Amino acid sequence: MKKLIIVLLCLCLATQSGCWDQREINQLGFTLAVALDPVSNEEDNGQAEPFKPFSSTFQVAVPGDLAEAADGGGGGKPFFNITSSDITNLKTIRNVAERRSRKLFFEHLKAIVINEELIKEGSLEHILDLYLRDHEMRRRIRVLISKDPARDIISEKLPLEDMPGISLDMIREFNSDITFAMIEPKELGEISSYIKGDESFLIAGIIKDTELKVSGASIIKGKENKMIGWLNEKDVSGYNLIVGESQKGIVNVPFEESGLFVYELDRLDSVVNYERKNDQPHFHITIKSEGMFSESWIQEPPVNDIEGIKKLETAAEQEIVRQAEHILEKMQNEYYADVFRLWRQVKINDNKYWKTIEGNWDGEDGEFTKANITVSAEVEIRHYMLNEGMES
Amino acid sequence: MKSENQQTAYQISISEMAVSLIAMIVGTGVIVLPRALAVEMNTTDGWITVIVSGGFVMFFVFIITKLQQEFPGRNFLQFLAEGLFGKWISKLLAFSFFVYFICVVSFLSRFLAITIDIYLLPQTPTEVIVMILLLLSTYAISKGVQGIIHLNIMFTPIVLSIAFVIIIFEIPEFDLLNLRPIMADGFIPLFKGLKETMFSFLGVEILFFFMAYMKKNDIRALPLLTSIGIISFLYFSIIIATFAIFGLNSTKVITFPMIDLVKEIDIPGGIFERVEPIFITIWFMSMFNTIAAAHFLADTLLKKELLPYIKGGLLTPIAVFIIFINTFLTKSYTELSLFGEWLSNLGLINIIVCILVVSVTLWYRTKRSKPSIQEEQA
Repeated sequence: MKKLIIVLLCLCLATQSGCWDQREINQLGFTLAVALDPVSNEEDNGQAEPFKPFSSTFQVAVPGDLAEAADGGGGGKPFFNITSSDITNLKTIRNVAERRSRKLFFEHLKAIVINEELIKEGSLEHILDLYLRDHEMRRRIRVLISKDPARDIISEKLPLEDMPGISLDMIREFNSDITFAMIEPKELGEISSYIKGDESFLIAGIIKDTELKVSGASIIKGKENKMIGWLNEKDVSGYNLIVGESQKGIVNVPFEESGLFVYELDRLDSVVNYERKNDQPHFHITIKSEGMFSESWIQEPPVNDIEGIKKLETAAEQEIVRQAEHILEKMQNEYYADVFRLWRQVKINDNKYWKTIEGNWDGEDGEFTKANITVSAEVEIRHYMLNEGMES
Repeated sequence: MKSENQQTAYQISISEMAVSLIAMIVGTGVIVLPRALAVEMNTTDGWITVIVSGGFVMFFVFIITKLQQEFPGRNFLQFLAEGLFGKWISKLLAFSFFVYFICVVSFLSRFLAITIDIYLLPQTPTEVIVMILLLLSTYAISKGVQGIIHLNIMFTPIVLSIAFVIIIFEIPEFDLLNLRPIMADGFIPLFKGLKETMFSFLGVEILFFFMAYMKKNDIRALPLLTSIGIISFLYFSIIIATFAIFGLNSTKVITFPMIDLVKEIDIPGGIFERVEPIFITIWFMSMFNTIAAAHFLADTLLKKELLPYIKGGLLTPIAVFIIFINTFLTKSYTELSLFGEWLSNLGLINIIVCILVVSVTLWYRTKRSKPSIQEEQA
């Protein structure tokens, strides 16, 4: 009898446990991307004036169609987008629950696209707070800023790919390394560090001309965490050179009067030297790179003699310095924001001085604006594939 | 009665003791230490403090071993109780340790319940989690010391290796510039952090009790010091990893930095996208070891030292009930942290008082009545 009871109890353990937290996979709506947009017609909402409603669009995977699409057939899109709006993120998410059979599930969220209008007015910190705080969210979610309505961006399906949300993630994974025109989309975790440290930073932009394109970047000002400007592709390439981010980008180098060649980087490294002279921070940024001479628009490229290579290298160095100085100038005198994290050098090398200026680095009369920054480049062209000079 | 005999016959070997020491110390510290240090010190120098306090703890452990060598086969309470005056001190210390261990079990259960509630089982009522946990640990302690020690030996290698593997996975993400400047604010922050890091080494007090189950010539300090070294290195790596990845400002606001570290892991291939449930399950083992050991000691203290005249199996359920109620006295995570701080203070005081009292008694007795002690040992 006693044994029977024990056996029964064990059976209970095996059969009755674990039901509290069961979540059937076919009852979840896997959200892959979120797009945040401002709501255009504001007269809808009379109450709570300081908090404007914004709309969130959730991209939910449709697993059946996804499998079909992978097989090549299938008519339906492998995802659907659903939009809802409220003044807070979580409320919006719950609003969706009232309208759909499946609960939104965020553990596989890949990307958040934010319309620039939202962060021009409101703080990025608050908009992203839920996505940082909630345990379901990953720290690796990519954040992108769009000029166009964000919901259009996530409805665009790239050729070859099934899910816009995932392809946004793939753009950065495969391509941010080979082009200078985009910065690597920041992860949510990184953004949270910047926000908590009151730092200014860039978030990769995404635009939709005829097609989707990760391009440019929006400047987020520290402390207020608001967007203060937009950088175009040329500015961004200077930024990439200064922070040494895209290792394998390319630079179009004008050569002598009418020539042009492409310098393809193989390695990129930037070294920042800090010094304090006359109570003013001096930075010297050395951009070291090596690469190859990949494409020539010059009549007779002087690649076969050392002098000629030197000339090419000098031209490339000048172009790199020009691009870097261009963006530095822009950040120092137009936006007053140190997105290069130069302040870290001050903090590390001159901590006492840093303590006195800590709160006053960015900003219109901040120390960063007054800093003296010089740039130099070291280019080494390792090879050039076609050795035209040999024949003559 | 038979099992009773087996228990007394069982003797802990020194390597088992060393592993148990690791199992006992590794607990909540792994999860929250970097944030506590970031808040307390406001610099990224926490790793220095950990090394320093590791040294302190080694010193403590060394003293405890030396003291224990003087009275093998008994714990310090039994040793103290031999004197006339010591009897009362022994009772007092026993009570203090009893309260401490009961609270440790409650604290850890509550902590575990909160993390499990957030990350693993959001729907399951916390009471049920704690109930099952306490039932399990009651079952574990019913097997006596041997059961506890063997559980430790079973789980600790898994916990340690997983923790180190996780940190190795993180290395590509390191940004060591975050750790600089080193000691920019001088020594004062290091002292501020010292208390926090000492707290994370709490657990060494089990040596007072478990070493009573060891043979005299087995009581050596070196393996135990190695354990402390391993734990210091674990804490050191976790702190370096957290600061190198999140930076100081972000670490200050992340409640469970280690779990967020695990969240950062991106295993290529996309098969395992989420590692933290696995990590929390593994960490659960380490927490369970700590809980079981503390529960065992609370139970033993109650039965053997405080109320030896009450026979029957009534005391264990009463102790469990007290623990259960105590677990839910703290209402929120904030309250729990405060409770943890009080508890750590109590633990530290207990250890220091014990070392002092035992050394003084030892010195007094050797001085006053050398012959009688030799007689006892014979």
